[in-house]
Amino acid sequence: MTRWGMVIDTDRCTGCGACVVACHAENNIQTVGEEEAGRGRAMHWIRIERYYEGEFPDIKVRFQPVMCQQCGHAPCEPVCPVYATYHTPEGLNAMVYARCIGTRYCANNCPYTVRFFNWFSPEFPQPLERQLNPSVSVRSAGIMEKCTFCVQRIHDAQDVAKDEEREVRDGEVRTACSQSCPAEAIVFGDLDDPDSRVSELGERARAMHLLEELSTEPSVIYLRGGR
Amino acid sequence: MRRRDFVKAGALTAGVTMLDGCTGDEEVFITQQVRPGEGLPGETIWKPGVCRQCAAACGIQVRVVDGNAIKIEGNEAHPVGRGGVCALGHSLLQELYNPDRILQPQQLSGARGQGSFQPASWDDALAAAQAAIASASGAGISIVASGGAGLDGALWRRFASALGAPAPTFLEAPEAEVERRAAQLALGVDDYPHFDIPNAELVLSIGAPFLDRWRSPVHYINAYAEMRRGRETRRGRLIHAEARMSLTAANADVWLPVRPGTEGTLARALAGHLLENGDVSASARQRYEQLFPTVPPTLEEAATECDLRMDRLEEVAGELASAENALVIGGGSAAGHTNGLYNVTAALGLNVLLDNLGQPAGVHSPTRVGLGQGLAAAGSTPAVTLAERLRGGDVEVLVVANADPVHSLPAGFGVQDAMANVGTVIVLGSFLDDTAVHADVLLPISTELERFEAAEPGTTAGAPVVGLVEPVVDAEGESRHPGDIVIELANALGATVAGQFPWDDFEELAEETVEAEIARLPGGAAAEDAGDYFDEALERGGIFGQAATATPPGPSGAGPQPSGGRFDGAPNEFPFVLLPFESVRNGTGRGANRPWMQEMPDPLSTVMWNCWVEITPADAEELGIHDTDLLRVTSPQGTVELHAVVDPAARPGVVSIPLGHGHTQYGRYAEGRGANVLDLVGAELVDGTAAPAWAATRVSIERLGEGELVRFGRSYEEMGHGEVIPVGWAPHEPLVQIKTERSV
Ligand code: SF4
Ligand code: SF4
Repeated sequence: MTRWGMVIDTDRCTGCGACVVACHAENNIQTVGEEEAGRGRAMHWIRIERYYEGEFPDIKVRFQPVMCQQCGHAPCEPVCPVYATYHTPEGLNAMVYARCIGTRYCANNCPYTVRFFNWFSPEFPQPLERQLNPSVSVRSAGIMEKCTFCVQRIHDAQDVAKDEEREVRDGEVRTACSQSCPAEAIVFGDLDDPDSRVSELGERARAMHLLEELSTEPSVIYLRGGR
Repeated sequence: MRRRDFVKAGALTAGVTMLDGCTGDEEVFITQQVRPGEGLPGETIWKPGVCRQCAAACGIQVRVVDGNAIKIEGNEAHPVGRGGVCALGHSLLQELYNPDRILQPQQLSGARGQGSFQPASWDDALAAAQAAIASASGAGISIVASGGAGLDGALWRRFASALGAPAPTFLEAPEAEVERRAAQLALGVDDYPHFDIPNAELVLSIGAPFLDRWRSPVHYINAYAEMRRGRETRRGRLIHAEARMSLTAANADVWLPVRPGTEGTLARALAGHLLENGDVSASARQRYEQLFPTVPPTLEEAATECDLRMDRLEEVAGELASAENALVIGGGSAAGHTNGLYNVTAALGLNVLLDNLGQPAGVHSPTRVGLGQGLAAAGSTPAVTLAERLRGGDVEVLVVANADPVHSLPAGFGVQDAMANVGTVIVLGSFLDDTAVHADVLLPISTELERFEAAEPGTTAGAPVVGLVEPVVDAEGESRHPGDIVIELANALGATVAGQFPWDDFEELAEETVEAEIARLPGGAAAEDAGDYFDEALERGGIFGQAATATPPGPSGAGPQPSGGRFDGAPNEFPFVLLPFESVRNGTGRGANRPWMQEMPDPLSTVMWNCWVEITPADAEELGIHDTDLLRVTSPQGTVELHAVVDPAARPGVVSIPLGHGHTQYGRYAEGRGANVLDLVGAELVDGTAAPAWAATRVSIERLGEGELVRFGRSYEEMGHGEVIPVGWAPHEPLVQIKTERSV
């Protein structure tokens, strides 16, 4: 069985933010404008966390890209009264937009704060909407959303593999953030395949999970920086 | 009919024949209804393209569905980007489909500079432009365009020379000229060299913000990541010297917050340490002393002058002397001081002592193709000379192509006011920007996704490259290829001018140039058929040569005299040094009209939708400034109002402001947002060059009151001193930062 996972090497990541814009472009994420962004309503399925440590001049900065960790034991799932967020057999923490009634319980229960609520229906002034990805639905007001591990790309690769009567190859599915990253810091693949690149990287001594002590069993593995 | 049109027509005919054959397969039937290469309804087609959002000219692949460009990815075959794309590159789609884009020619109606235009036909607009050019004296015509590398630059040069006009002004990054000249002096090469970063054990960067934007962000980020983790056995190290905590500094193992303007002293002191303690060959020593014959400063002297801690400096000097293979890269703000040429020459000169010229993990001669170099003599007019001509009223006709000189040149050059002196302003552009608002005639141009491109990147990638691509999507509205507009204008300007532009359009020019120069193009000598060679290049996304590793000849004479930086403004009146910088959010200003880029948080300040000034907590406290307060920043040149970001990593006595904001025009997303830091920058030049010294200004700061600044994370003050400051989208307990290690 496939279990989709991701490895992010924070020693490669420079914090350039290409993944942030790539994700907006791929997943039809709305921009909310200055005023709403000021109310904490900006939607970034992937964000670059920035940490300062120490005092000038011995101050260090670290970056950590954070998106939905696609938890194996996801705190967001059991609290949804309408089963809009559920676990797929391939380990994805999926959202059924049509079921979502906007209680926002899931966002409250997510320890990684990666879920975003559509306070408004998006606006794409003409002709900006021509860029919208036809493989991804545009979410309207009242719907919760978050990183999907670019599930549309997974499905595309699975369709092609099926047509060609073979399995999906390692490296064939690349999420938008991973494909864009100039540093090749993000690797995506099947954690159940012991020969996959993510499995190999995930075994490194630098590997860690975010908030491991919560036992959420994230599908995203971070490789610590060497600083 | 050109050969490739013939091939296209052939593809259509073949389709019809298949239809006659009546296969019964409906997919084949549908195929007949679509144009070749367009795909079935809803089907994804990937087409190679090239990004021209900055001078790096990365190769891209564009996802096209139903004729719309949906998504940009990197072209893995392209030597510059190698499959990556930067944030600004992605946002090209929001330039293409921008709601404020101008898609029809416009002619001035009313007073110039007020922004009132009326739509015109192409015939009328071109006739007006042509009439203005025809009635001007050659010497009275000035041309300003973006990037001069490659075929489009050559075409503008040819146009200028055919008109008897001065060579065009190409608006490249202001430090680029200084860096190029420094490379000439220190390494004997004619352009900025290529650094083999992935193989280096230690990279020392003096001022070069190569992980921010600078020359070629995607190329350098990839090279850096390979240096870090491309090798199983060894993690390469980065030391960065710059007065600002930039993205490059943030990623460094050691950051040297050097006093602005003393970067040359730092480099020379490190050289002195190498000469005394390093393993320097006699020939390297001799070559270096030819470049800098004087005795270098000691580390102690440098520690004082550069305001760096002695132990830190010793550590860095020791590491440089003992590293197995180290390289030194220089530029950025170090090149933007008045003594920029000295700073960067001293930085690059360290490579001579490290004996890494032409070596693996060293510095290599620049390589370029120079497509169309036979079309026109090299050369350009510096921006400062253009500004003088504008101010002196010497410009009868100003042609501006895909550039915004009013916004992107220092206020001290006086271009904004001088626009009123120009007889006729002809703008080839896509937006009503700060320059276009002064236009008499506005000719809408296609973006790089809608036009035939022959784009040459800078010399940083180390391989000869021309991005050669067909239009990815149809041109929006009535926009046209800027190259086609030049050819059309030339054809209307009488036989002498027209005779020099015998091509139907830019595409034909590109095809003919490739054919004419094929023998010296990568893989061209072995090509059997020039047409096939051209077609294959289009399919691939360009002509890509092998990485070349030519050895730079090294210095051939003495470099610039050691000097410190001068700053505009007296320290008692203007206590802070101002460092303008390029944020990944919108580069030098191009990205400001796109919602994605406005809402993208700056990775360090996390500010969205605005511009800011970075100030250290100690200086802020002294002036009674709190985070997000509205400040007035004043220089001898001008004044801007901006919000404070109290930055724990800022250097005391230095304030930094991102470039590219404060557009007075440029569409709904950009207009009136923040301030343009160049409004504070005077007319000072870098010594020995014609480049503006954009990091040579002092400012004073005054608190005007409370203010708001939209952030994606929390500020230093909200979190308290010395604490780890996480970024989150809403108030929330901080994430526990370092998590337990996995047991594996
Ligand atoms: S694109 Fe890559 S290097 Fe840039 S911020 Fe994202 S993960 Fe980091
Ligand atoms: S580095 Fe420059 S050319 Fe490359 S993708 Fe980014 S903006 Fe485009």
